[in-house]
Amino acid sequence: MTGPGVSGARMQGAAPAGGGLGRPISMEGVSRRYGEVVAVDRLDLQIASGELVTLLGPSGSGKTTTLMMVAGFTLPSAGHIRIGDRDVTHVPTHRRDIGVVFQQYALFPHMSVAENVAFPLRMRGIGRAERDDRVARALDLVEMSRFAARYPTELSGGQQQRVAFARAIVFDPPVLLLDEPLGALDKKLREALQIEIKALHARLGLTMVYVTHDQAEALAISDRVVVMNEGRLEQAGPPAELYEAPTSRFVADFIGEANFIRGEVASTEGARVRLGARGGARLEALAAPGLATPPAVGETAELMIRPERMRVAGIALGDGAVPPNTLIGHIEDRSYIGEATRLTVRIRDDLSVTLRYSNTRAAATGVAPGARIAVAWDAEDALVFPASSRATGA
Amino acid sequence: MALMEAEAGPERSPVLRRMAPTVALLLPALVLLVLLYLLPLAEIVRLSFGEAGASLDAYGTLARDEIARVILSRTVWIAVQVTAICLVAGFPVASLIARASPRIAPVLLLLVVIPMWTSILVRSYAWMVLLGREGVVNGTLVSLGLAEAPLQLLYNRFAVIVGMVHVMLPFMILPILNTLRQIPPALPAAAESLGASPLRAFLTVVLPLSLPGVAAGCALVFILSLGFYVTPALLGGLRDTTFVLLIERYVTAIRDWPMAAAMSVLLLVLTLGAVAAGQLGAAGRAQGGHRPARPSGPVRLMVAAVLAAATRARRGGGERRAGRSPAGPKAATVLLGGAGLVFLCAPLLIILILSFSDAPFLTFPPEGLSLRWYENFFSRPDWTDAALTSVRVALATMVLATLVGTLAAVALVRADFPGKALLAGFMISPIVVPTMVLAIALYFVFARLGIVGTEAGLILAHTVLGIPFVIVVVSGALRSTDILPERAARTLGAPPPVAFLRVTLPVLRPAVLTAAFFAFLASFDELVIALFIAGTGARTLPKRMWEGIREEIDPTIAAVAAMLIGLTLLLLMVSEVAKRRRS
Repeated sequence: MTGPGVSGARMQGAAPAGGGLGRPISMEGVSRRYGEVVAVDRLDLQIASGELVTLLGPSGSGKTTTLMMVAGFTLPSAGHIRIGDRDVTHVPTHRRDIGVVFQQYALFPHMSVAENVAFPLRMRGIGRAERDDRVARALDLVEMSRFAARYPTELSGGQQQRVAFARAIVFDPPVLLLDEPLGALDKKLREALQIEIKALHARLGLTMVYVTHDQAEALAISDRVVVMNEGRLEQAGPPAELYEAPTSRFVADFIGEANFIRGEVASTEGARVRLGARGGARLEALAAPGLATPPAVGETAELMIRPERMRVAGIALGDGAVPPNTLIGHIEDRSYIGEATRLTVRIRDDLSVTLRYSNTRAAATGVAPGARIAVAWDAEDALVFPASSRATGA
Repeated sequence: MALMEAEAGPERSPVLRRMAPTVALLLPALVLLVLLYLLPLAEIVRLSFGEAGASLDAYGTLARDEIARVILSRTVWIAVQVTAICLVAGFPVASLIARASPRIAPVLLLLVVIPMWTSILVRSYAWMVLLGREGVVNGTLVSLGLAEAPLQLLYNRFAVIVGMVHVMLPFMILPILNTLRQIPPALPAAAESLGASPLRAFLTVVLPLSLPGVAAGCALVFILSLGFYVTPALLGGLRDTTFVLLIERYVTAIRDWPMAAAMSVLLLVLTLGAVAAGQLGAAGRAQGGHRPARPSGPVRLMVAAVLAAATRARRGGGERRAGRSPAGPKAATVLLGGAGLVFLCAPLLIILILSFSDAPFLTFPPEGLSLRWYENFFSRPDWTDAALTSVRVALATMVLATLVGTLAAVALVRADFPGKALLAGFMISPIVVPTMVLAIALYFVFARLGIVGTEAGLILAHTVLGIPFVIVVVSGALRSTDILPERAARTLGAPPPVAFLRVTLPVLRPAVLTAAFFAFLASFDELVIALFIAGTGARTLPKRMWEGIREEIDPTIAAVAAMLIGLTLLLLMVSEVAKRRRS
């Protein structure tokens, strides 16, 4: 049993955001092997107290295994996990004092909403009066007070999700783990709950580790996103940094949309790289940050440019010389997607690029399918990666 | 829709036209069950009111009969004890299987299913061999110095309860296992994340959620124990006479039909009361907030469990991310569950070994090996004839029950009509009605029709027992079969029957095979009905074994038992292979 001592005060909401209630989590050289398969490979990760960190990655990347090791459901094959100043590597789940919100909520079907939320308090031997009080406050926090007597099967998905959240925080755990908590909900509700989770995080000030495979969700809610791939940490940083300055082709490709254009490195000048692509196009971009060795002259490399950073260039499409960072092709498809329009432009048989522009009133006109146009971008918006190999710095 | 109904023509109403296929599907099974099940039972009820049909004499006598009352309360008490022991012994086995890895779980399940499908006669015989004065248990006790002289273990209450627990245990394990498997592993995991130790997670989350399975298992074991005949008859002494043994005596020795009928009615009422209590229990829990998807009574739950067992361990491998199964403390589960599995399988194993003994009496371990008992079996026409009769009867029963039951199952799942649940309950009910009651009812009717002692009569009677298994297995599979492909076939121009036959039936084939297997065994192992209506003209293998066991403990019976175990294994393997081929 962990001491219920500090109980109530924490949840009053009076505490300022990040008020030191959370505890840091530290993983050092944590691995998990299943026979031959390495699910998590020597992971080093420090999570600050009160931080909201998202583990993001494709399925099989090891993000859920990592979360399960923090929760204590899976034992690491190697390495250490610490929560606060306590090494919990071999501490059983029920003594770790962590809240977990499960993917399918895992509400107890034979207990009412109030009984579900009271469960962790009962396990900690907290007396009736205080228990009722804290259950009421936790349900109030997630706006589920009037459903206290209902059973989980009588609730909608979003309501179950709120109850699961209340149950996971009612005992004031310093750490809250969330395993794709919004995965089963529809888009609108998901976005509303993302905002609520962020608000609750700010209000409660606990450390949150959030697993998702939805990159938009990860970008929207996190202080920091940890991208995992094949059991390894690919890149960790604030959302904007991951999007703007990916250190590997994998991250560039996984987060957001990206065009990749192959070419041969013609010259380098500091971080600036010039490439020659097939068909004579001249390309200019910055070397991706964090590369151990910048691309060398003569090597094949790939230039990455985001669709919204490309524009339709108003140049004469004669036979004359084409400016740098400009490609000429035919519009293959034009899709109206509400706030923006997406163009697919066929440059060569083996290369097409996607370009996106906002549907402001002044937006480009005269871009009909079949039309021949030029697309262009600024060198500062493009990054160069070694061709189809991972960034050596990771 | 409106167009089709308009075209139905003036002479037949749309309702009739829509119901016609349903009626056609249900009719064969209904005719068989009404003639061979409902009417004979009604005859017994009528008979209990005297030959003239309006006398309460038999009931009056029964109410004053001190012996009958003692035996009835003894029967109930034995059933309660057996149920309690099965629960305590069965839960750990179910837990063990539920938490085993996907590779091991099917193997452990087989260790439950093989004994379950092994003839009850064979298993009772095994316990006679094990518990006899010179038996394996006494031999072990004496040689270990735990007993100075052989103990009296056989022909007493101890033997009856051990033997009955052995027979009933699978009926407890399978429903519990079924509910344990439906508990998402995330639930006990969530409890642990919220601060519950594994033991408390088990007590507060897993145990309450497994109660429907526990209730179903208890109801089932209790109901079957009430009307159980073979084991008490073989393993019990004079002071262990149960109510069905008393009924039998009134029919065969005292020849007082009204009394036997009145006692049968009493037992029938008790049994149906227990079934109803089980149903009410399930419904009451549903009102208490936590609602299983569909409130289901013990019969359906049990058969669902049997179905789940028969159609392999289905488990959401990918979903089990929490890495733990809902099953409570590990060491205790492994120890107790393992002990339960040993208890289930060891007697069969010992019989298998003893059948190769070269001694004319059964000592374990056998001193020498020989095939003489197998040779004895094949060289004696009284054995081989009985075996051939059994095979013929069982095959015919299998074909008839599978055909008729499958048709009925289709109607029960696909059609919607008032009273459907009641009809389904009626069609499954032969599983729970004490076989002895059905046997004397059939005997009474068959004797007047002059078909006692014919194979045809036996086949018809066994079909009544086979139909429920077929209905439950096939309707379960049909319910979980996607209807969309069949609808697609209809949009492509296939008439409904063709769409069903060409699209859905092929998917159902493994279930139909399983159902056929159940129907075959239901007949092949059946003893009580055969005792009454097989006469000498249709002596089956169980009947021949029964005579053999009663007269002397002839090792030929061990050889027969071993072959029957082998046959069960073979049939289980065949149905397993058939299922594998599909996937």
